[in-house]
Amino acid sequence: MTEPGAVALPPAGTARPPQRLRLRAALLDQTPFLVLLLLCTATALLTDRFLTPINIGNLMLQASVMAVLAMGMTYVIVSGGFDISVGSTVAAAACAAAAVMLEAGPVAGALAGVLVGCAVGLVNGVLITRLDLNPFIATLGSMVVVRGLVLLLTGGRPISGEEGLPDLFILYGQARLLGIPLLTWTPILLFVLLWWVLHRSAYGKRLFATGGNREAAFLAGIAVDRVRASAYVWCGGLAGVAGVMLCARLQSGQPTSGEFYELMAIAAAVVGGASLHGGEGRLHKTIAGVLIIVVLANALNLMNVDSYWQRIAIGVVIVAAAAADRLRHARN
Amino acid sequence: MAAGRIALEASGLRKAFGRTIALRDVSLRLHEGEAHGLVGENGAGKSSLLKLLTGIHRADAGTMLLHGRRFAPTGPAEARRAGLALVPQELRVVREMTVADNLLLGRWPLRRHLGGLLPASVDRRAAEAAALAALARLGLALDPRRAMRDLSFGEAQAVVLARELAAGEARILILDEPTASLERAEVDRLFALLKRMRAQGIALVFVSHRLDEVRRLCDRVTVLRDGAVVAEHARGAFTELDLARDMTGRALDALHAPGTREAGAELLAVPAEGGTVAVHAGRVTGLAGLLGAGTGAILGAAFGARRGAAGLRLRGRPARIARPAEAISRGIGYVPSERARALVPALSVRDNIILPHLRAMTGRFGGFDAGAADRAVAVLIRRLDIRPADPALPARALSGGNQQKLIFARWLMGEFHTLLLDEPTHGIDVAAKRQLLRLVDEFAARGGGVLLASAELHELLALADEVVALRGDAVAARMQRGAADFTEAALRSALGTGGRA
Repeated sequence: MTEPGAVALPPAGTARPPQRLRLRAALLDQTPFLVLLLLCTATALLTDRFLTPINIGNLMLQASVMAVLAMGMTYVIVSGGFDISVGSTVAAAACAAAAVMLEAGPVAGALAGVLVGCAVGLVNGVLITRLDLNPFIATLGSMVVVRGLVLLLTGGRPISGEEGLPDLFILYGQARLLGIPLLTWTPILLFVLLWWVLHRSAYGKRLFATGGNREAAFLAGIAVDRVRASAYVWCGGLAGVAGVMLCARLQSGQPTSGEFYELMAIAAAVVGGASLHGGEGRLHKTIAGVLIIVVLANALNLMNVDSYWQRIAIGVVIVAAAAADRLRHARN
Repeated sequence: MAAGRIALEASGLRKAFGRTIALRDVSLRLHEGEAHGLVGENGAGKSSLLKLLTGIHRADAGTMLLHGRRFAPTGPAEARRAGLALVPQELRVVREMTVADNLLLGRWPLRRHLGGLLPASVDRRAAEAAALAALARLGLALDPRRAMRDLSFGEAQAVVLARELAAGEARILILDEPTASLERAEVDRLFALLKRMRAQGIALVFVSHRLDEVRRLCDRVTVLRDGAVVAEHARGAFTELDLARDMTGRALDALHAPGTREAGAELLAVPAEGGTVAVHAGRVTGLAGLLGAGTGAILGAAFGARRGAAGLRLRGRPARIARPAEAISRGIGYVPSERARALVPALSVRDNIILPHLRAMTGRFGGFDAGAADRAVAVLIRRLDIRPADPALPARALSGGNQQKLIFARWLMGEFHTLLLDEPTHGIDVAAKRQLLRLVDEFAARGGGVLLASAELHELLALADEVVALRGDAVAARMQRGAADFTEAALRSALGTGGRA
């Protein structure tokens, strides 16, 4: 733009903020990662059990299921919605996967789990867009109904068959590749796909526009109801994946599993800076949010802090993240 | 009005945010009973000045004297206690409460029960009497028992003004764009009310983009540009063009009237009660109506933004447009009357501009051509002079005028033959206004058709080839450029506002 030798004077009102402020803004933008770094450093200094291979393996496993859920939750939150049914969906998917697997093999089982998740998501999406229900209420309803259905159909008993689930599936829950559990490779691969869809594709822009200002998106020709409903299908489908992963880890479909997972997933997205008003959120920051919560729980565990205190600590982190979000908005 | 004693004297005010200087050495003197205009383009420093006066920000340098005493409020509450109150553009009222409740908001007369054992209750009769007295002081005949939500905007605004006077015994009122949502008769009523307030010695600061009203109301006017006072005029010693020149720093030619444009083929025809509103290639059709008339509904229906779009004609053939997506794919663009309805604040300038074109830009696998988008957006930002010229900035960081340009820019990309513009110059500064109107003119000159709804009749008359006047939802009159009745007076009488209320 500027010719060599020409002095580029910005027109009035376009002066860029000074270097110092830009640096501060850039750092503020990376808050979740800085917090994570700080947390890891502090924990590593306070206990020598943190950086052991066994502990890190545990961390990866714990973070994996949560990461898949939280990524789906980020889609819904960006679209301006909310989904508290994912914990129940995880259990439904795990049980469906286990039951189908015993009859038709591991691939069909995994597929069944994901499809069950998509179905729950679709129902949520239809309820919220067609009947114009509040997302909180609609997914509260499906959370209770799905959990009830799972308990009813399983009789409350875990599904693992008489000789256990297929060996191939058990292997998926235990094997490692390049030192990283297969269960952890799942969110890593999904992240690449989901990040591109959310932050690079045209669909992602529609999602952000719909969450940021639904009427404006509608006036720009976006089929906002379809976009909103699709976010719940993503979220449900990913909860299905999470259910299959959990099934592999526990080597059975547990009808009572996944409780409180929805809260953890929402917390991770919020800690990662996704705005509950919709239209804002970054997938990699959600992952940072997941790691913050998992590492925090792990650190308290390693330091032998009462597990009741862990809940309190995580609650405080969630509120702090939400307050930080408010402050950021107030400054804008 | 004779100048009274000095109510407020601000001198040498300076305020910087980081390296951006919002105000440099601004001085303002306000007399009792005076109406003082404050004008400037968006970003000239008006808001910053108001924030200093009301204590939202502290000045970096300079002093303020209120009735001769040092005045350094730490916030709006303290400023109000000292007798200076700001009435924002959006009214802060509780719509579910009555007029009396709103007038005495938070200061309701209470009745104690059992010597304070039970919680006190509001003394309804005393509240209504107090409200009545406060309203009477301003010559307002409103029933204090009416629900706030049943009031017109003008009436609600009068209640807010009465509240400010009653609450803090305000001696200085700052009115931020008070007429933006008023129609002409209501403006007259507001001005009568303001006159009564000034007779009681109250000083007014009138912040407005409507220069004709500034000229009508104000005893003196201060013009801000780039954070500095560039001119101060006394009543009768300035014209609107003077103000516009001071604000922009350059002489503006009056809106040039286009020559009669050749009417091309009919692009779009929207049914209305008592006729159709047609858009022709290469022409601007004006749509005039009072606030609350069906102009917005006609534009919205033509775009598929609301129901009731039966009977549309597109290029002479019957068409059905049920959703904005269908209008967009057929080359129709729409700028709604409120920016908030069209803008996604958290999204970048670039993404806001390409929003209606996502489908057209989407390639295989759902990706889209970011390079092409960047190139197209860069051209538009330059052409419309959108500032700051940074496509990655979130849209909320832009000033109102620039946001409006951004919404306009959407439809200058791709193949659009018809633009539906609903009050496109509402609440933006003179320079941005001229620029938008020039773009409309260019769009028509290149063969596009425009349907322009505006409450600014002179804008319609300056730009349109045909003006359709609506009364309620019905077509009341049609006027052609060049005809003897193509005048503001004729248009006003067609709208039913010939005389001043």
